[in-house]
Amino acid sequence: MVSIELSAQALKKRLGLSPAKLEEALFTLGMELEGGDEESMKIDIAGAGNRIDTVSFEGLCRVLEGYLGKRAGCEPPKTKPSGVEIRVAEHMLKVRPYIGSMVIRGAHLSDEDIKALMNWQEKVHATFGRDRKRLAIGFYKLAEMKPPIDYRLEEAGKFMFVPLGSDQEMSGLEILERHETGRKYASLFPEKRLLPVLKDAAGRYLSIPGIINSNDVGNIAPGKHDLFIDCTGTDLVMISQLLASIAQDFADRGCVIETVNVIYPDRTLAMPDLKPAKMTLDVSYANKLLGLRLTPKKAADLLGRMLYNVKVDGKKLEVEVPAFRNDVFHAVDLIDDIARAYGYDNMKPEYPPTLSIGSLRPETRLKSKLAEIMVGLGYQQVLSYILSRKDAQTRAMDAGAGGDFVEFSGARAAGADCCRRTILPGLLEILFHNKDARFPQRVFEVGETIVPDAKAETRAVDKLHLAAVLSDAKAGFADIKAAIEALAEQLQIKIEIKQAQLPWYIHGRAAEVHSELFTGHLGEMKPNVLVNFGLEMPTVALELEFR
Amino acid sequence: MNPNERRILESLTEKAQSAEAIAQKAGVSSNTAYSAFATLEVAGYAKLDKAERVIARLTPEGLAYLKQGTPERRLIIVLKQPMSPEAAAENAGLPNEQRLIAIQWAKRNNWVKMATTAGKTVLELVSDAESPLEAAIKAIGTGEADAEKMDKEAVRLLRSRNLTQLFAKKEAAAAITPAGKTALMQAEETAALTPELLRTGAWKTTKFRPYDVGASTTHALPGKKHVLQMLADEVRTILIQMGFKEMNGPMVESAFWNFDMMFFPQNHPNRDMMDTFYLSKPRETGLPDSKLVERVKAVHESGWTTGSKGLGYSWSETEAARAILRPHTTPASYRYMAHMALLGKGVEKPGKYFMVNRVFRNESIDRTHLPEFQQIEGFVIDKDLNFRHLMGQIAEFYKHLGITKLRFKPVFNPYTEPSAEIFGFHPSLNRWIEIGNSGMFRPETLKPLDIGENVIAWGLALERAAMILFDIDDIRDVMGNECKLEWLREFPSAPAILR
Repeated sequence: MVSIELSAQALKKRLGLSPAKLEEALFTLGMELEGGDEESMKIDIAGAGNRIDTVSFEGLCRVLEGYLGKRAGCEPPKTKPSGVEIRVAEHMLKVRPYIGSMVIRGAHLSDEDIKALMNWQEKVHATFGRDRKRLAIGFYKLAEMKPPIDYRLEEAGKFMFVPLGSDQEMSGLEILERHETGRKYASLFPEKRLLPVLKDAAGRYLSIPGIINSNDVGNIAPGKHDLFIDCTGTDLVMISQLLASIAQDFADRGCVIETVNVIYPDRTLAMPDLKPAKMTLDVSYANKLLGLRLTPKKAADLLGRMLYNVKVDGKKLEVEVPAFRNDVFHAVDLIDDIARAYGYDNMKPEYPPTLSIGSLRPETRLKSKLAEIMVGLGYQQVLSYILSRKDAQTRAMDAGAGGDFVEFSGARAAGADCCRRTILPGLLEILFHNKDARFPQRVFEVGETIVPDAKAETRAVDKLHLAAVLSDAKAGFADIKAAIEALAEQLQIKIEIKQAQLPWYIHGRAAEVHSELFTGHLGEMKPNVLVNFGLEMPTVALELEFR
Repeated sequence: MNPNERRILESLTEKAQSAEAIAQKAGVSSNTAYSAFATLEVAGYAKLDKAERVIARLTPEGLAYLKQGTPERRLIIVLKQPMSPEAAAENAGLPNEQRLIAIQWAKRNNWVKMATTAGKTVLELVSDAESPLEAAIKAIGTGEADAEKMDKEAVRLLRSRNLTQLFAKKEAAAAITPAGKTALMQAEETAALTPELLRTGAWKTTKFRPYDVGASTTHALPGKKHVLQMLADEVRTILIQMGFKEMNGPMVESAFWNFDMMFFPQNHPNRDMMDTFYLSKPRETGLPDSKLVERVKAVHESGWTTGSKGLGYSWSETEAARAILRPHTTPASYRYMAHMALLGKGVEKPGKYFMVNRVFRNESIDRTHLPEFQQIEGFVIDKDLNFRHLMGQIAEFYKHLGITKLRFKPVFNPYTEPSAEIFGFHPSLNRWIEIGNSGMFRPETLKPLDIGENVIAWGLALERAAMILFDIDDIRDVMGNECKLEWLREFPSAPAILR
């Protein structure tokens, strides 16, 4: 989910929609008005297609205006060269390989604009930028710098500048160690001694890209500016799309976009590249996928409302995809936009003609049968977690530590660190949470356990288990043995019950059980195991693993 | 209750009766009655009123007086005429030790007076009325008498002359309690219909005691299917009716099947957005057929022959081999489609497939979120399927669950296009609620499997459906290790929605 917050007043002024109408338009396009008041509107844009261009106020209004028929298509901004160059040092390819850039002339920025721009920047960094790892963007006053710009590594302890929002000159190393933003993003460059910098021809440091800009060049006050923009990162495609999105936003506000030449050791790229991608769409393909009968003209109109420039060529459409669209890979993406503009509400559901005979898997039928028998024996079915704790699976069961488990770390649900190999601990935890429920407590679960298996493609296999517990003042071995015998009788299988010693059962009151269908064990739970699970009631148990 | 206790209980009335009376009625000894009382009282079936009485019994000497008369009586019987005390005693045959007593008491009773005739003292009979002492001896007789009800002076006299002994005696009166009545009705051993009664024909003359059907009983604790199992079974039934075949897939998955196959870019926020559990053991999985791996790599990098421009980055096999717990069941659908053509395991197409099974999300637990839940997953594969068929299939499915008002909202899924979130109108909440996600699988995800057909697919969380359909407020009561047993026991076996 990506949510953005926009000024309610500005939205109303721009679009002239009541909140209800706005909500409806957003829903149709796949977005959601999550909440709002007089001041601001919170909009979830994720459903719009994971589009980088809808994060900004300008971009979102552009999309809505198109849908509402206030604009059709999208002319890419005209650009001219700014003459600014960035020289990328070869060693950067191993650190943070890509840099995109452009110049925006004549940007009038109010206090509010600057605030909105900063919010937008943070949102992009947090989402598409993957916390600045994938990309990060910076704004500078072009007037304060002297091109060409070098993008290179320098010794962190040796270069100095005043970081944004500070009044004190610091070395690169100090910024990483002492400045709040520096500390927060220091992990971007694990090799701390060498840091990437943008440095102009006068030897001024513009920024440590991805981390922080210089206060002198990067601190933008309200007023009219010529802006220099850099966007560094690991994903050149997304960098280009982000630049295109910014360029469109500022061009829509009347600014002039100028290109910057980025000089790599092996090539030079003039950025931004705002040339739309060309795609051909066969209207019959769209109709086939949507179950509609759109004429080429109608399909072209619908695409126009989604901001594509379209030319009709017989039954085919020549479609220009704006350079800021990061979500269009295939003709189906155009068809999706046709469907949105057409409106899902306007499409009539139809039951598919496909004929097929339904069936259940034998395992599901077995699971149902097992549940039915256990319910007949008076047991309540439960569903405990497959996610478990190694401690509960082993030590608490008196089964020693260790064992071969499917493991993970960092679970948000307290304590979970493995997948269960046995269901019993989960059932005992359920008993613990139900000490105030009426006794006798008969509880069972039919479910999967997961076992590492080097031979399996996924290196683990699921096993079907049945586990049951009976907790009562008078519960004894005979009760659970009676249950398993009844189960065997109902399944019409022979079982063999043999005296056995299992860590969690009282010595001499435990057995192994074998049959063609399963192997397992049953017995009276040991007092110390019951105590480990906080239980105060005698409990007998069984657990079976099915072949 | 043994038969005597039952007989006693049957003889009790709401009004207290004495133990003796009850024993007589029941035809048992009073000792038996007393021991039965004790049991019945402990069981709460009888209410006992216990009292202590003082009773008097004659001593052997008293008994002798009863039989022969008191010495003073024997003395005056011989006094037909005045005679000397010595002569009278001699005539009466009184032993020496009783002679003085007899004379003194005869005097005290005013039976005789002393006179002098010829210088000699003689006794002269005045009266022979029964004395209080004699009356008391008669009253006690050979048995006993309630000392408290007797003349106090007489008792004192008897005791002073050692003619009587006093005993403390416990006595009881008993009445039946409501519990006693219930017990009589419930555990009717003698009045219950028995095989013997049937066999011998004695039932014809047996009168069956009416029960108090309002009497309380012990609570039965039924075994029950889990509510989510009920719903899952219902969902399976609905889907089978519509021709869906059940499928399955592993819970531990590779990023390959879960993400790469489904056109999730590597190093993309969507992989994290699903709150995926990445495993530390196994850390890596194997990858499928190398032909498929090559194709998927090509799709990501340049679109391969799918008509897509691809994602434009350098695809990593290591990333694809990362082991995870599946955050959704859709990889199972792709595995099944792989078995249709490319891997040639004979899974039929066209066709309809579904599963209901566990998925895992690394989320913290709260009222509406659990780190694992069950997902319902379904897809239809056929040549000419379109987006309206998706809507129609979904509408039919939800109709069977009782949700008839649906709305589709565009959404973004990396592996479907077009895609729709499914919203259902909840009448009691009076608002639209998200109840599923759906779409048509992208060509980028199908062509590597040699699938040329169109595929419509949808999924939803079973728990979410249950919360909406059954008005469940806190999912933790229902599923997981903190579930509430009483909640599960009390949940109706046939909730209205599943009838």
